[in-house]
Amino acid sequence: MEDDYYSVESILAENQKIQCQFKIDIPDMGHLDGGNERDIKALSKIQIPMWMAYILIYSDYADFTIPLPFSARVRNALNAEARSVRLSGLVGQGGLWYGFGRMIMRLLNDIPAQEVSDVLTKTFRSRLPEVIDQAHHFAAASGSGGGAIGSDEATMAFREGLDGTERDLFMLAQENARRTKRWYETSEKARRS
Amino acid sequence: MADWLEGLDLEPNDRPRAGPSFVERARHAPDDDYPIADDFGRPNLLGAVEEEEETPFQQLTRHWMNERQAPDILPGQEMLLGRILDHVRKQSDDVQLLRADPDSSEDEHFRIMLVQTEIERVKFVVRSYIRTRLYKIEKYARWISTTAEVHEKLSKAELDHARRYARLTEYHFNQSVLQSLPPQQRSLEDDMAFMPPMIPEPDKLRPVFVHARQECPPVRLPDGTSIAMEKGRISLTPYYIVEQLLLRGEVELV
Amino acid sequence: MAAATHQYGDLATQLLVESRRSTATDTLLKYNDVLVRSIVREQRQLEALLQAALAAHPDEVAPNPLLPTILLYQTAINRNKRCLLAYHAHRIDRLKDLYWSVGGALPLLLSMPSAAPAHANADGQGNAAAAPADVRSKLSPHEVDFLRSYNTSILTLRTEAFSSAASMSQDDAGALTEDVDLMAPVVKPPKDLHVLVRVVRDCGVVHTEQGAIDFRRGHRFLVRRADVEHLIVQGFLEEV
Repeated sequence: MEDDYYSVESILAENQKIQCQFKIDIPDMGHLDGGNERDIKALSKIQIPMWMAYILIYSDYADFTIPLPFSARVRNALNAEARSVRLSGLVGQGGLWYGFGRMIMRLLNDIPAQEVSDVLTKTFRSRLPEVIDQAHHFAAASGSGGGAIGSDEATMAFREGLDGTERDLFMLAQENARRTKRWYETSEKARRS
Repeated sequence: MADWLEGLDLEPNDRPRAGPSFVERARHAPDDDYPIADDFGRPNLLGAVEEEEETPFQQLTRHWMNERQAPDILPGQEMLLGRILDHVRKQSDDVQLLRADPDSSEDEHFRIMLVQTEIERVKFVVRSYIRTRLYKIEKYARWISTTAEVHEKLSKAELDHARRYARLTEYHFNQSVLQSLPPQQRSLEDDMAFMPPMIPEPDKLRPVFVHARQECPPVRLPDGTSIAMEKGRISLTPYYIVEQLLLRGEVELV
Repeated sequence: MAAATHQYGDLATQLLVESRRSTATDTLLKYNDVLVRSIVREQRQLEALLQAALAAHPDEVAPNPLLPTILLYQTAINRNKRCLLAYHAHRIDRLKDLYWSVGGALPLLLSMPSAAPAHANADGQGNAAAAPADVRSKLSPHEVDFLRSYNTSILTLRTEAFSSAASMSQDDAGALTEDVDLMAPVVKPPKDLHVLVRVVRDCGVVHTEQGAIDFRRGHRFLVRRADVEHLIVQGFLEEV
């Protein structure tokens, strides 16, 4: 996703909320908590959208808790076997786990940011071959009407666990395989005739 | 060189396109289809050595592909375009004459058809090349109109359009939104923390697939390592890494 | 308080969800004047709150105790503004797509049904009552203006585009502009010189390579593609 001022997707992605704990009182902002308080009180915990969280954390008005999708537990699971983690379960169907991670990185300092970055890259690398493999299998299977491939549980679970970005890649790879096949077939025909 | 085909993939969700015959013919376009002016195809002035000399149409095809893959706007190929179009015109005239000639044989009519088909394909590439540039020019119009270094990469017509387009979008934003906002909120040049700039620029960090057309000096990658770009090698790198090589014609984007 | 019913930026999010839906369904939605105005109103309220907070502590020396509040007002203002501009920019992009998809035929674009571009209802006029709203009714007046100016700029570009090309007189350049036809589709490279078409809507006599042809509804012709490309794009002819 292009990080452009006018990018609809990039703007909507920043509606993702994270939990902030306030370090100070903020007058007249109590409504952010959805309650009837006039002010935000120090130590209160509120879910804040990313676009608003940046300035709060940068100005040191609030701390944030590393959200669940990037918690130690999830990281351990990813370390053990990245392909067995359902990213979509962490960020919701169609949610962007990688995009969320990149936003979290912007809230962190050098070393923790680097750690998140490593988790993102490593996870992406270890899952990508499976994404592409499955996409190719699917493209091949759908052409010949065979449904055998991809029906076993592990493959299916993996496919359902793709995050939005991986899903896009899956679709692209699938389309790509279909087109290559079609191109190959038509050019074969042309050569024979 | 089948990757050439990828370039025809303009719309992700369209049906399959041209078979390989176009590719083949484009690559091996008979020279007599493009009688070349004297200064054509001579060794590149900058010292790039090409083993097989490219026909003008092959050159255009390469620039077209580069333009389609590059995040930035590349120097426009006005002269090349002019010569090719000149030639298209001449060929079209010849075709008209031959068609009108009652003495043309069956065989000649067949040849005429081939020539006409090629003409249509050349025109397609020209059109797509111009439209690709146009897309980027409009996307970055506000940046272009305030950045003098970019101007030399554009033809006069393109630059004029970029300026008009920049004014047009600013006017539209003003009329539709900004003029109704409080005066403090009307600027189109805010510099805000945690937001991308309001005037987008080409993203030179974007990765591109690059094919070395000749032996190139090694390039240094962002992680500090360097890779040799030996002839024929295809690599995936951020655009800025190969930008200079591309401008010198030593590599092409695929 | 004004924000009691919703959070800052909620309305703006609604607006962009429309943009997303428009992309996902590949349709042009009606310009949401009401929502745009509500957000503009929110912007005015935020600005008033911001200015009041600034004015509450005019003392230049001591830090304003309302600074965190002020920063949040400003952040909400920036967010809303970005959403407003992104919404309009997104629509402009879609309008340009539509414009090019009909080969730059602006009057046709404005009057055609917005659901199925380029393939206007095949029965010609059809019954007006059932016809879906045309593109124009989905646009704000400023968007119509934009399209007109854009069209003018493109026509100018088209005339100028080849005039600087080498070894060419002004006349040749003009002729070439016609030849290359910037407005023709760029999605698929031409494969065949000729194309079999069915006439969907009468388009009168057109000069082609084979001479003048009267394209009457229902008839079929085998013609040179380049001669009729624009008629196909504009939905007068259909490839068979």
